[in-house]
Amino acid sequence: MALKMVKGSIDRMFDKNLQDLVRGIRNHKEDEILRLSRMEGLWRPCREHACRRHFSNSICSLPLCHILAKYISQCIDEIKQELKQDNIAVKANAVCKLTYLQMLGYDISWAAFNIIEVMSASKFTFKRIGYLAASQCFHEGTDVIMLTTNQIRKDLSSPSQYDTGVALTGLSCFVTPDLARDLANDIMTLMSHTKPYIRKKAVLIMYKVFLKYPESLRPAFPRLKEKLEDPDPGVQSAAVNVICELARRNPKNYLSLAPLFFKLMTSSTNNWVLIKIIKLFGALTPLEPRLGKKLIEPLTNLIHSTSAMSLLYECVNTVIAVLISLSSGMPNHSASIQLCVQKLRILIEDSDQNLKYLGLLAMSKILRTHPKSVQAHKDLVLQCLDDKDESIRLRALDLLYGMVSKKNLMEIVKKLMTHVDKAEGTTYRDELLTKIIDICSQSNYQHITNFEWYISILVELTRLEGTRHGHLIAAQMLDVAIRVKAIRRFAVSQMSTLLDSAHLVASSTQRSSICEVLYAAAWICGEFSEHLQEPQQTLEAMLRPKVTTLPGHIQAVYVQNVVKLYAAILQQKEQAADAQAAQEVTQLLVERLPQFVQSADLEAQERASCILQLVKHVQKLQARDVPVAEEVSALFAGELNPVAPKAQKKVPVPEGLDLDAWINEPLSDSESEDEKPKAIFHDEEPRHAKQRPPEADEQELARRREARKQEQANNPFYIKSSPSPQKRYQDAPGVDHIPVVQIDLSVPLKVPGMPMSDQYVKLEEERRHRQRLEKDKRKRKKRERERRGARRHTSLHTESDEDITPAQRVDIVTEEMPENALPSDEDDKDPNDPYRALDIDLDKPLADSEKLPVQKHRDTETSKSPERQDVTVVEKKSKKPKRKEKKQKEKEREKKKKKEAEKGVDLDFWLSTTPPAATPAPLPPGFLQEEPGVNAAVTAPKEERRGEEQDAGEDAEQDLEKKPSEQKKKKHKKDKGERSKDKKRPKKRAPPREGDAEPVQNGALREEPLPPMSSYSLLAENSYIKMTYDVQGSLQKDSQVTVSMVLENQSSSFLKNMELNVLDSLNARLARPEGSSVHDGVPVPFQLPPGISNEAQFVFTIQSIVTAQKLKGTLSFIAKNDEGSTHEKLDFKLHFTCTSYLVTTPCYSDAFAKLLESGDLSMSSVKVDGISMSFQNLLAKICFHHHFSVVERVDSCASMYSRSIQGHHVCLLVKKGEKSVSVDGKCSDSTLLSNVLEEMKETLAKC
Amino acid sequence: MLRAPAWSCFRFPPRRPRPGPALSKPCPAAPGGARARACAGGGGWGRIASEIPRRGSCARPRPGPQLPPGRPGSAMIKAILIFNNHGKPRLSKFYQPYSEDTQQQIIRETFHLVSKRDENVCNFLEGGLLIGGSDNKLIYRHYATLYFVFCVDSSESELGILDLIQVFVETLDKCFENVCELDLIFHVDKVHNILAEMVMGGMVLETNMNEIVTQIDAQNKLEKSEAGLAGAPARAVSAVKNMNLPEIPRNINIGDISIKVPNLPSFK
Repeated sequence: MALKMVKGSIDRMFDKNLQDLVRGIRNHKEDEILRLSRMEGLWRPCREHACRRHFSNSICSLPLCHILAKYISQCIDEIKQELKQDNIAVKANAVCKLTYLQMLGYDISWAAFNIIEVMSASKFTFKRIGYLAASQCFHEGTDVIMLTTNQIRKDLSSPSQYDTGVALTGLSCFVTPDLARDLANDIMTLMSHTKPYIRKKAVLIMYKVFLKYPESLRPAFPRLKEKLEDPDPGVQSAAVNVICELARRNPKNYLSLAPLFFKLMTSSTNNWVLIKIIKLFGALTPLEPRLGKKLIEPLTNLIHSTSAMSLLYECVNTVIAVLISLSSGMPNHSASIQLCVQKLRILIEDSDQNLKYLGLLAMSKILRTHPKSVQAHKDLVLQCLDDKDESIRLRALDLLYGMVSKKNLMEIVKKLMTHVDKAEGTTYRDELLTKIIDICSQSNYQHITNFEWYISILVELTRLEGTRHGHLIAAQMLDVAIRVKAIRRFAVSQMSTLLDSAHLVASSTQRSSICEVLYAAAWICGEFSEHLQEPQQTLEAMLRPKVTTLPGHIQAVYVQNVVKLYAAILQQKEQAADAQAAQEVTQLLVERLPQFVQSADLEAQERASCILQLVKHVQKLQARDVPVAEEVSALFAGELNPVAPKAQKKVPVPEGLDLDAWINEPLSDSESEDEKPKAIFHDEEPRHAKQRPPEADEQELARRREARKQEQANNPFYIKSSPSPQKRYQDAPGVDHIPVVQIDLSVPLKVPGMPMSDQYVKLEEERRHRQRLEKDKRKRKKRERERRGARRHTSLHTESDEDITPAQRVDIVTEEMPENALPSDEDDKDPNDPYRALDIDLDKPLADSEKLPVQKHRDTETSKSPERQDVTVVEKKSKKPKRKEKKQKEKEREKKKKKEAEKGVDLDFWLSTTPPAATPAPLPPGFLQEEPGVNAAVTAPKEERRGEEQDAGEDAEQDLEKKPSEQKKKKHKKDKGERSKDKKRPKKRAPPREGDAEPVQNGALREEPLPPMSSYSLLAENSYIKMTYDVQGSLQKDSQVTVSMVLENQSSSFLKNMELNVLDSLNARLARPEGSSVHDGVPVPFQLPPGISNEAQFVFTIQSIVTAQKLKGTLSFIAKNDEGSTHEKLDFKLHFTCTSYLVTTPCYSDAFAKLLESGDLSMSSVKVDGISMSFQNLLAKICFHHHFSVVERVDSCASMYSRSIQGHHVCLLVKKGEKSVSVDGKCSDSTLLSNVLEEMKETLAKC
Repeated sequence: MLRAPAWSCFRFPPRRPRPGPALSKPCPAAPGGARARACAGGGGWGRIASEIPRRGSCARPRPGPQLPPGRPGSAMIKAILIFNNHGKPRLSKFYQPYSEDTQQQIIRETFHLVSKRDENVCNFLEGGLLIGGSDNKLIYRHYATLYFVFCVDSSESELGILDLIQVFVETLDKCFENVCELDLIFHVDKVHNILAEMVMGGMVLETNMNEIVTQIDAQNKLEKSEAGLAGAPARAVSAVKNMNLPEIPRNINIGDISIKVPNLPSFK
């Protein structure tokens, strides 16, 4: 027997193992390739054959490919045979070889099942091979992956730490949402494993689990937080890692950890942990400027003291982030900036290229907010531009962007142009090209004083070979020509030259991108043909046969603009009464246009044939001596204005237009229901356009134009009508005689041997010099007049940017926006960001329902209802994903609100007064104090979080309103926090429950600090105890409500054995523990020492919810004090209002509109007079007390929505007039509606 | 000998002096015939780890107190690639799912970007189009015949990753004893195992070399003990294979069991 085993293993040892495979491949490949390549020269990758990564001759040399492909397919066949055997060692060997082949680019997913088999081997050796293969080739789409769940769970709980470790490592690579959900609990247990080796792996993998299964974040977070203080440095650093990564994505949820991290930062000596934490602070400071203030000092100390460059670099980076966040509120941190810039300069000057690179990288961050301090180091940056390292040059280019001014733009661009000529490699040249254009066009061509120069730069750039950015140059040409009116004449002349030499530009196929500039050139020449010197010549250039080799869209533009030119020429000729010439032009067109009619491009073809017919018609008319020029040019009358790219999106929806309404009733097809398009504004656009009247009449147009002018006049950004600083300077009395030097373009600029743009540099210098002289003269005169013989003014270069007058009267036309455009800039959020799901508040205490799924038998119900300790009602697991999602959403909303309350207190407390509990390094006393002014200045930049709160469908307007309100609210909370800090900490509120929270997202609106609202109302009170209660419905169970009762012991006795009993009615019953009769009470699960309060929850089952009802009940308890104990009782009357059956449910306006239209809702309304409260607060009150959410709000009118636990929809339209409020309601049940409205009336009457 | 660059934020443990051939020379004294033979087969053989990092700064004395070895906090490492001077992949580990074709493309592109760079330029590179886009950086080091490339996202500490590469290579050197490209070629699985102790799911797990080596040794021991009876002959055979004997017995007879030795053309 033993011998047989030996034989088996000996047999196996002659199986090909990994080493043999590698050796075989090398024998078949590398020798051959080397030999052949020596013979045949150049080699390229072979695409035709399976061996993707091997090299063959330009046309695949079949023999070689064959040799290798054959060998590998032979190996794969062997592997397949081996996989069929029972012996696990053979299988593992096969899988090991497959892993190698995978690296070479072979798909091995067909062996997924075998890989799982090897993973489940009992021996560590094989298991490791299996997990490695799985980590290399499994992904979310692998279908057999769900088979691994139990195996992995088994391995995770294996006694051998290496089995567990290898499973964790493997899992980290292929974890799916399902695996994450099923294994989250197991992994969480491992976080407290005895071996640090396992602990650190478990901590690290939690990040992956969070990503795939965001619900696990809250339950697991407390333990993760614990691990920050793990005795093992590896585990600690893993925890820092995970939290930092989480915080980087959603920093605002982790602000409350700042004190903890601060403590770590000041105590840790581990540079890696320090780097991580410092990076994290960099992400947090934008959210909380006070944190930045607190950080500056220790960071500056670190910068001074550390010797580790990496730490220094990260410190500088974070200080920069702090400075950026403070830049608005704090005027004076120039010392810190100076320090940073100084340190960075040292880095940049270092001989180590890596440090140089990083220095430049950090410098570019400073540049954004403190350009002045960086500009001082211009020399250094320009020097780096000459560096041999491309990465460094690119970084230096980035910096240049912020260093240009009117004064040095030409000089810098000239330098860049020489680089363009020298650059090898198209990537870098393309980068240069885009940078040149970026630099010149930044902030509305702010730095360009001479647009002729810019146009000639653009024209020079067209001579670049093989650039990918032809369209960019074209776009710039178009933009400048359209927006700078003064330049059009010059631009047109340049463009016509370009068209004339089109063969140069479009000669080789390589330049396919650069020929885009011809598109621009043709359009400019056509559109502004009145400026053309020799239109006829340009026309002929555009009709050359060569043009038909251009891409279709360019041909189309050619055709269109040929007609524009034609119109211009006709007009010219007819004015000169040169009928002969006019007819010749027509003839030219008739002859040449047919070449476009044959174009393969549909657009070009269609336009050409249209225009050909038109021209033929004109020819007929001309033959009859009819003047046609007027009519032909009428085709192109009017001027085109630039329109902002986002303009279309920002057109507000006109009143009364319902974009969601059907234009035609949809076909009663079931399909259309399924694929209901999401109502995103863009998608609606075409429909929107259709509904518009086709042409606005003349008067209307005129009126609009007038309005626009008015608006532009008031718009500070509209350069056209508001004088620029330079112009104001010119207009100032006494200086208006300074001539603006106009460069006459008819003066030939053709200095041989010099590119055009250089001439402009010279000319510009001369011009400025003249200007300066003149100014000097003037100044001198003035001074001499003032104090004769005094110190003379030096004629050194002291001109500042503002002194340079542009050569042309620059008329940069801003882009037009539609009237009443809504200024919202939040259209760039990616809704598919996986990290958004992790945007979860972590400060809220865990609810019972938030548990990680524990492994159970398949058929057991998971208790996910918000059950309380005292009630053991088992309910069916709701499998509907929709509900689950909804619940999740609600939860998050609730969390957000809750967080603000609690975090506000904790963090404020830390930020404002206390020093961190255990800072080993003594901190300067100033550290502890906070300038009083700061709190007022905190209107924290909440942009980011708001963006995330936003759902796609939400109304931008509403968003605008929320912005100020939330900030104010925050401030308010902070004030409260401040007040409370000298007293004792406020008592913790009762645990929050669903529906208790004010809705935040399209929910409640807040503007002014609201009066404290509590939904708890007094139930009963005596000398021993005070009871307050609140009733909440839950959407999960359609006939249950939860009554939360806060019991407060008001006596000096100890209250125990509390029991609550209620006299059930037909309609409402108390849910009692199983097996108890209707007369038994329900015990309260706690005892109350004197002065303590606690909350208990009781579930009631309600049959009909349309009417309010009252239940009588009794609380019995034993009060015990020194003198003995007495049995006491307290009667109460529970009031179930109809409101309490409503559950805050978000509703989008489209769904809301649909609901109203459906017509099966009954209507009712109430009106309340004498209300002085603001509408904002009013809505908040309704939202809070009656569980509504705001769907939409327009001025003093809002639509609101809520849903009962039994699924009745309740829609409200709340209108506020002078001193009165009217509420119109629609609901699927009229009784419910009238009751709700009655209750609402009562609430409102109290306002 | 190996020395941490001046900006290094952790210290390498003292190294034992190692006798051995000078760097970048072929390794004639390498143990085992296979190694020598494979060298002739065209693979690389320069010793990897023995090459001193090329930064000029490494010679600079480091002032200030030395800090204990630490662990890099990591954000996300997207991929780790090792390929040789000809672009042949020696190890590829992707922490984001890509199809095999894309993986090969990424390797090719990365090689293309990295290989054309001079020796004395910085180790950071932007512009990998395939992997990740603008947020990501390639951070690489070139040792003898091999490129070690880490593709990381923007939140990563650049210098930290450079150190991590150094630790990786030193660990390989310790585990393979005078590591050279051939070790990576023939034992890619072992390299994966070592890497798994350092980086997990795209996050840095451990950077203390001693700790990594301890765990690897323990796992190897476990593996050996599992092989037991069956392991011994297998090891023997692999030794035989590596010996490249001109004549291998065609038949092995042990008692009544006769084992036919297959033709081994591929061993040649």
